[in-house]
Amino acid sequence: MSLIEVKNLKKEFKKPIRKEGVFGYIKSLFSRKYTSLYAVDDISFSIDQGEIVGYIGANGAGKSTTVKMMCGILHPTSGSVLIDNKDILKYRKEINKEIGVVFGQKTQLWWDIPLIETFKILKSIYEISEEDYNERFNFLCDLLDLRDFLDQNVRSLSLGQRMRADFAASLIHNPKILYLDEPTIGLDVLVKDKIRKAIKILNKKYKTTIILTTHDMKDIEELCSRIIIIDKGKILYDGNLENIKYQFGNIKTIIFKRNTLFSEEELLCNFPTLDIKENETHDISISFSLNEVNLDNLLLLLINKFKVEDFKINDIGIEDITKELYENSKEN
Amino acid sequence: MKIAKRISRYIPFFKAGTKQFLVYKAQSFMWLIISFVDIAFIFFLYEAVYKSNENGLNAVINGFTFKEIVLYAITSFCFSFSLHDETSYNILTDVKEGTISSSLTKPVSYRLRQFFQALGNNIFQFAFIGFPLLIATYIIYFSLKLIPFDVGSFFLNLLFFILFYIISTILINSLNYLLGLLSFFSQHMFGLQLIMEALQMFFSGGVVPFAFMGIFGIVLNFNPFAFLNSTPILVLMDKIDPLYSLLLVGVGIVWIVIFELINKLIFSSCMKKLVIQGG
Repeated sequence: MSLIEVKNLKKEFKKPIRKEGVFGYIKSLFSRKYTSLYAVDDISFSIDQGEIVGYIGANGAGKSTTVKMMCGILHPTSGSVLIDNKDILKYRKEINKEIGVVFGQKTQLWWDIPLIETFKILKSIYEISEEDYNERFNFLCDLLDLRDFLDQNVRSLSLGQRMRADFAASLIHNPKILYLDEPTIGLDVLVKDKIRKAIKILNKKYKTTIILTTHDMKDIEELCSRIIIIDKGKILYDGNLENIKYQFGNIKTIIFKRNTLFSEEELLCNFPTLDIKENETHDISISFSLNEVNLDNLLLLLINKFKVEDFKINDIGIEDITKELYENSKEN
Repeated sequence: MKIAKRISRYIPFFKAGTKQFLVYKAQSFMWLIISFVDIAFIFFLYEAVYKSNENGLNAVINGFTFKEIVLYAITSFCFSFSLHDETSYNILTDVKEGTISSSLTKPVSYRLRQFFQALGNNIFQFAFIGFPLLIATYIIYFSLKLIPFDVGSFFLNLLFFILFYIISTILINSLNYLLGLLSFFSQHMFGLQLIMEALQMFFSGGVVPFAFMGIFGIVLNFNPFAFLNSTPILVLMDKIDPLYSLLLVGVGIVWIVIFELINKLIFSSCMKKLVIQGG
């Protein structure tokens, strides 16, 4: 039995049509018309305990709306979300004890009081025993370096400090499920790295199920074994990272400096499917699919015949794949 | 036991409310100064009214002597510290900035959370500013024999006053919560807040006692706003007899039940309508 079951989830938003100009505005006061938009359109998937799932999509694709329905904040137009086989809308308060949420653009910390007080408030809300609280509080403080600013008012914290604190606050009750909605947005590389490490450790130590929405593909590549790609409210892909790379032809790129022996025509004679490009600084990049080209043979040719000595090989990134998926879905 | 455990989950919100009072103490004391100016205006206004009467300051107008009407104004001012409720503003901010999403992911009731937070702030304001001023005023009035002092009736009135204080604290929060919920439908709340303040001022007897309004005033005794000012003040001034006070306690409880039911209905409709601002 899966921990999270999302079944035929739909969310329709109605937006009033406002006409231009003063007269248009007055007119729309009396006869208001609406357009409807499905932010989430018939989505189904299930997530097992201990999985880290990357939920990715362009701006306005419906990621945050799905997460908010999975938390029970938004009511779906139709469909359901079951957590541990319980409907989130019926058992919201009960299920909320088992979930932690970080919204990258919103804080759950109490703005006007010292950070430590937020943790104490959460201890009471979640009815955490003294022993468990101390264990987790110390663990999170060490993991996320919180001790230096525990006594500061939240409003005086930097974005990086606030995000680390928010992240700790969402985990103080040791939730079974952690929703991370763009947790690394606007953060510097050091803080991002700290948060990614923390996610890995938590998942390993407590088997926390993590659903991560992000635009930072490094988050996905480093953390997620499974990704769900969504666009215009529909799922474009649901599966593991390696599979999608394979589906997209297992593309690799070899980059090296042009030398006098290199001949594009000769290379194409041997490997006609290669995509060869050269930039202004005479860097040659050769892209090809591993499904069509034998890497060893290609490298042998480059090294033995064209005397290429210094080169690097890049894999296709998830960023390129999602870009291609969005473009395909636009064309369709 | 179960209820006590349930309530204990909201104690941190109560404490946070008290801490917010301490954080914004400068704001509270500024309000105190503004209120002193208000009360001075009311004093001079009534002085002018009584002086215009043929008996001057010794006149009894609608059952109030000049000393009593001044006491009414001071008590009303002191009691206003228990009415400072920012729930509607807090809900508006929650909806406007989208922070309601964080509130709704906690295993607590949004209604009770708002109530306990406001309670913490209100009790502190009343305990540290309103109540000491009230006690000081009554000590001065009794010691200068400006009003008669009877131990038995004073303590009975004080008991009723405490009951009405509890009712008013719940009612003001219910009203503000209701107003706050309207921000789910429209975030242009400034006008509504002003209307609410004006209604509260007039229908609570904050401008003039209901006794000055003839038959209309008798009806107004039963309106929900009356519990926010007129009723507790009049009971403390020994202007309401105990039986009538008991009846009003019942009416106050009925109003609380009505507003809580309305709030519950509106909240469930808000949840269906909720859109989180800012993604």
